[in-house]
Amino acid sequence: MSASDVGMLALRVLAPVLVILIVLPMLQWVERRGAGLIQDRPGPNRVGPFGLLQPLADVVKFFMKEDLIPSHADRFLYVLAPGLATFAALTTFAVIPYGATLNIRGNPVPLVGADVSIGILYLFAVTSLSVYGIVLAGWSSNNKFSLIGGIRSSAQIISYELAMTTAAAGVILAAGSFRLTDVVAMQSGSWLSLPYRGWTVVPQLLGFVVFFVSAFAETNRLPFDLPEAEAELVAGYHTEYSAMKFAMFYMAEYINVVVASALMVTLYFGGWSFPGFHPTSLGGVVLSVLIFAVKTAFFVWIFMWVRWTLPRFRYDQLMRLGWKALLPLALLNLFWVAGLVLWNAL
Amino acid sequence: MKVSASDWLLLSPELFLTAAGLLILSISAFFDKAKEEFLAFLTLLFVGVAIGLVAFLSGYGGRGAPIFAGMFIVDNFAIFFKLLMLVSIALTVLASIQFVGRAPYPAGDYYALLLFTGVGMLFMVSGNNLVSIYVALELMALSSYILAGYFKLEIKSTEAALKYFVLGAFSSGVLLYGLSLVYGIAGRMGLPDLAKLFESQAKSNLLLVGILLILAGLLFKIAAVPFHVWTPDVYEGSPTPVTAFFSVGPKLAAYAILARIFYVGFPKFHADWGLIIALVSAATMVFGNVAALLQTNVKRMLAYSSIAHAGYALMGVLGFRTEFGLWGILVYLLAYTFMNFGVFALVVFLETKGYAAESVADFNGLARRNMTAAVVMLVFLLSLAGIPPTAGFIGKYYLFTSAMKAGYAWLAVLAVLMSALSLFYYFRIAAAMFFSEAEGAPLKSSYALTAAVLICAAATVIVGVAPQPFVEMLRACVIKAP
Amino acid sequence: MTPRLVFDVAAGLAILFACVMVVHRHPVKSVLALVVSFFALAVTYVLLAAPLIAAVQVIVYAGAILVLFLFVLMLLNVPEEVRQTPDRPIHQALSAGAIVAFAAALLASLRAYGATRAAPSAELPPGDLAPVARLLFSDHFLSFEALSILLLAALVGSFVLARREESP
Repeated sequence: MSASDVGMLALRVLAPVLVILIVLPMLQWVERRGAGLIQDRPGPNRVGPFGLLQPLADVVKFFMKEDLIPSHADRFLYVLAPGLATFAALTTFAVIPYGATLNIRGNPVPLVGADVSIGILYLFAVTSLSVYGIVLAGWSSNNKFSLIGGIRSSAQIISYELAMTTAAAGVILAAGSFRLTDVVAMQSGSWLSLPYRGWTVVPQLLGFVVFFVSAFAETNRLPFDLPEAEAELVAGYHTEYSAMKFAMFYMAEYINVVVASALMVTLYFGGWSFPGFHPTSLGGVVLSVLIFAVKTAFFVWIFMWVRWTLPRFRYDQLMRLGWKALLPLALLNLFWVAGLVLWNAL
Repeated sequence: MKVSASDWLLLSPELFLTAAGLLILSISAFFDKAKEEFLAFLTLLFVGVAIGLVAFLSGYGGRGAPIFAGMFIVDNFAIFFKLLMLVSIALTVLASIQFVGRAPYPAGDYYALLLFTGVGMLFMVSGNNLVSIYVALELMALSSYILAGYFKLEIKSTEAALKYFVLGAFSSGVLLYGLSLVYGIAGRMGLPDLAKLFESQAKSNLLLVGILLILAGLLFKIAAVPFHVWTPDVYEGSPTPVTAFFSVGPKLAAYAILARIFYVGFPKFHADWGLIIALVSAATMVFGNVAALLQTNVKRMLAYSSIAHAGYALMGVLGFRTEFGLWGILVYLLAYTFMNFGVFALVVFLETKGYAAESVADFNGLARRNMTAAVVMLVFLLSLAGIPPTAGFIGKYYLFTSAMKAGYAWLAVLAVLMSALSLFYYFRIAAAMFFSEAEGAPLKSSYALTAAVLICAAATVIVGVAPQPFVEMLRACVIKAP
Repeated sequence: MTPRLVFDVAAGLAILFACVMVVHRHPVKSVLALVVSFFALAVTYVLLAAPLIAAVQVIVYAGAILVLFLFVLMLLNVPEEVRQTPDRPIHQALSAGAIVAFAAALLASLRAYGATRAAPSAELPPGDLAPVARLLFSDHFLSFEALSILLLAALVGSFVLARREESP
């Protein structure tokens, strides 16, 4: 492996992470301005034009705040938890293909951090670890509200992970591969041919709906934000956290939203592909990255839109929805896809 | 892998039992406590059909060759064990009807779990590959942990389940570790393949460690010393029909698979495992009998007595490459199943009458309260002690002969001495029944339990008086050592 | 860093944290040590060219089962374990001796075995998805189906044990 290869690899892996980290504060602005829009109020509009510098001010504020560790907390785990949450969120992006294959001096370079054969399994493995950040934060804070938040979170994530993976299994079945580049390749063909080679969302609408709903629970966003329901739990698992440690949880949540959106795009909306678009040149590849970004941004916006539109579920409703509605539907979807694959329709 | 219709036929008892378990499970919701007896009779009917299927297979031409990619084998050995285990399940159902019926727990799940345990056991004795054997063993074990704790409002039942589960899981881990070492060396799991590979390979210590760990895992299920500590607590705490079942059903499966793994998979190392089994056998019979002598609680005493019998039975595995082979253990297990189940069934009988058979004193004057029960109990006790003309005598006779032929004369002598020792504690119960004053009114048994006890008694006597046809039949059921 | 070095570090961590898991008095910390141990184990699987097993290890064990452990421990708010009766030194010495003896015997036989054998067996199936799946649904399908009954029995069992019954 030559030095340029290593550099290329580093670029491939780090580029999306850097982009996310840069865009992250902007998402905060979008969320708050969006909330203003929906609730018919201005939102942050003091710092800079349209309040655009507000995120910057927030970052400065987070750095300046006093970093408190409660005296009764378990220090080691208390410090570890936010790092764990952010780390798990950031590493998920490594296997999501964010653009078409680039051709550099005859060498094909797929625009994905690591094109591994177990791509989607890796993703589920890392997301399943992300619960530890929240659970440990809740437990190590040694505070009732935090603990309840942590417990809720673990129960919720385990319950919805099941529906989510079962829904995703439909896509895997259709693609015949865990490799996410294969999943995208499967969706970049013709919509009219048999077997069908368009976006997965058409044959697997049911699976998408299940995945979509589960994604909200997995990212602890409204209407499923019970781990941090401010009306009952103060702020749930991060009640005791302040300054940068709090900011890290905040970041982890937004990164998870972006990752969930990117995953939905990859699994159900063709990833970087677009009907009739087959990039060959450098410009085409850049366009493919843009297509991917736009699709992802759309779903990120839906996350925010939903947050300011729907009320919060009650906990028993959440559990009932997960086990009695989403899981059976996901299984139904799986059977449906299996049938389609069997009859060569996919 | 090719699967023919004949293969499915050979698998039919397992498939049928699975379907039966699922059916019982799904219809049990429609039966309230009062009508649950129907479920028991349905279970009995299903087990009967399964017995019929196995009996049909005993005459079926396609048996004997490994099927399903070498995972599964239905030979005469497996058929014998399957029949015996299904009979033990049927007896358990009979013994359970009243016992479970009176308890405040729904019976549907109980019978379904019993059937699932049965599936695991049947699957296990037909296992011809370490993976399928392990999976079947786990299926059997997991279902039996739950059965042990089925009476969950009784703290002793919960304790039994917990101890059984924790120690059972540990022993499974040991077994699995042994399997992984063997697999790491051989790169294959089929028992005949292993034997073939090892034939041309030098013996390595690593392999011996693996074999030793496998042996340890299986000896746990048999409750042989030093893996016996769970037995008294589990036998005492479990619902008594379940105890009766544990003392025969899962043990039969464990003996069968122990014999199959070592006879088919590791014939080359028979000198090594043979010696270890002989030592374990000696330790087990000495410890079991001495500990039983010191017990006053009947269930615990019978638990130690079962341990002692495990020690005897292990002698039957030693006859490797002798003319006896596994013949001894087969004859013995035929006798053991009926006599040991019968003893526990009588304990169930005393317990169902609100008269917990906790201490030996509870048997006082049984002869005056229910003569039949006392006489039948006496038959079982005589048989357990190995007094002719009972099945126990025939079983022990064949066992001891098989040990002698295999060159373990010292072990046979020890076993005879220990059998004599066992008379003391068996006759404590007998004496209490016949020579002590009766307390309480005459006892009457339920029909189902009576049937179970009488079947056991009849089998014990018939095999004892006219052993020839059975013994001859079993001769054809041994695994031929290569 | 060579793969060999990574393997050694990961394997060492797996063992170290398994020991921490056993020794630590606090159940929550024990579970966390086990998580690290499982994770390190997954790394060794990757280096053994079995990425599928590694992913399954993390998803199933670290990501699901141990989260449930943690969930239960937190729900019950289990405090740090306090020994009612301190361990007798003789017991500790005996168990430590047994562990060391077993480990030594195993290591010695492993080394002796390794010396007699040049290369690992070529028949080991690769740990990737397709071969595993093919094996699972052809040769091993009987065991696979038996496992589904096992899981059903476990399900029935947890239902039986957790169901609320009126006291007699």
